[in-house]
Amino acid sequence: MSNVIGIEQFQELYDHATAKKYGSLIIDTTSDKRFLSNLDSELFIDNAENKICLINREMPITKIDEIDKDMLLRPSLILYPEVEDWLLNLAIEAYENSLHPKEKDELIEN
Amino acid sequence: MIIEKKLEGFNNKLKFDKLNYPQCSCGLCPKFFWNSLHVGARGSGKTYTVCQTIKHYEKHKIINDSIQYKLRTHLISPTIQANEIYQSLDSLELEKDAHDDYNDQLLLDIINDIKAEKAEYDKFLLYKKYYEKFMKTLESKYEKLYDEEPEIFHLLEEYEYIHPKDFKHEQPKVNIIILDDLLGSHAFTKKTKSVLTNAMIKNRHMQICFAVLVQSIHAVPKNIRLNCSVFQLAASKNKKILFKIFMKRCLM
Repeated sequence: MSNVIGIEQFQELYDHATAKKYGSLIIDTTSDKRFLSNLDSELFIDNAENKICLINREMPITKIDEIDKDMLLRPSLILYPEVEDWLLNLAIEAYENSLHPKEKDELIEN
Repeated sequence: MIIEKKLEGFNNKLKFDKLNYPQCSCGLCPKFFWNSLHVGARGSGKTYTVCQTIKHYEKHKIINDSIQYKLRTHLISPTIQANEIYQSLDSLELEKDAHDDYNDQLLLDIINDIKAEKAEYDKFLLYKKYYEKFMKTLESKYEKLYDEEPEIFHLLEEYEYIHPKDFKHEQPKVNIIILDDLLGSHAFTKKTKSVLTNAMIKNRHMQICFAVLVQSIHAVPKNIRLNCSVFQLAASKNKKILFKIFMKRCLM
């Protein structure tokens, strides 16, 4: 595997990373040159097969969901100062589950 | 066929200390001190990615020589009101460090504020170093030390020889300046004496990371692009032009 690539492979990386919703290709040159798909996965070109390998590095990046939850938690802390944090978090989780019931069902099935 | 012949006298290895910057404890994210360029249309997720990155640094320890650094985020964006996501950043004090309009003086003020904080912390480090040296010196050799390095005594006297533990100072910081949606402002001037370009060139020296978010890569002067080390390319219709600029900068 190599990170020395040509324009076709670069285009392939870009298309791969941007195919999903809110997808973007991130090029990190702060140490070795790395190609990332939305910060949480690293991309490599497998020269033997000329295929893109997506390796999930399990980068501990905060998920967007967590940011959304945080944005719900902040006003609720002001609105309900007497309620403890864990209870507010539980209520927010219940609210989010009610918004995405299908995803939850799929998770249970899997 | 090219023949390569080694020349004698040019194989001396240079010895020097590498600069040691604070780094995130996870070891997987972009290393400090970076400049990042995020290119994508409105709603493509540029701001989300920047906030995710900062949130990541907020949740992980930033350490250098077993000293933990604090994160401070500054934001310059005319669309702050439309981007509620910035409220989720603990390191961004919206009232103090978020600004609507870019101008060179504002950037200089932010940089001077950062420099002043850094100078204060550097003074503490110097005091600690001098204090340790003073304590290690025998009383009979104080005069000799004073003759050689009077600045040690001057600084220790200024703080009445207090123990470094009692030296009041701010926690050292890593600063991130977000420049969001500044097309049409004076930020991306092509003048050679651009304040922003100059600051981005010296970012490591000042220990600042710049995150530049734009909708079009064309609007960003070459000198700024050349000084970026992290790039985010969101989905774009004009991807061929994007690639050409990109390949020149970072892949060839």
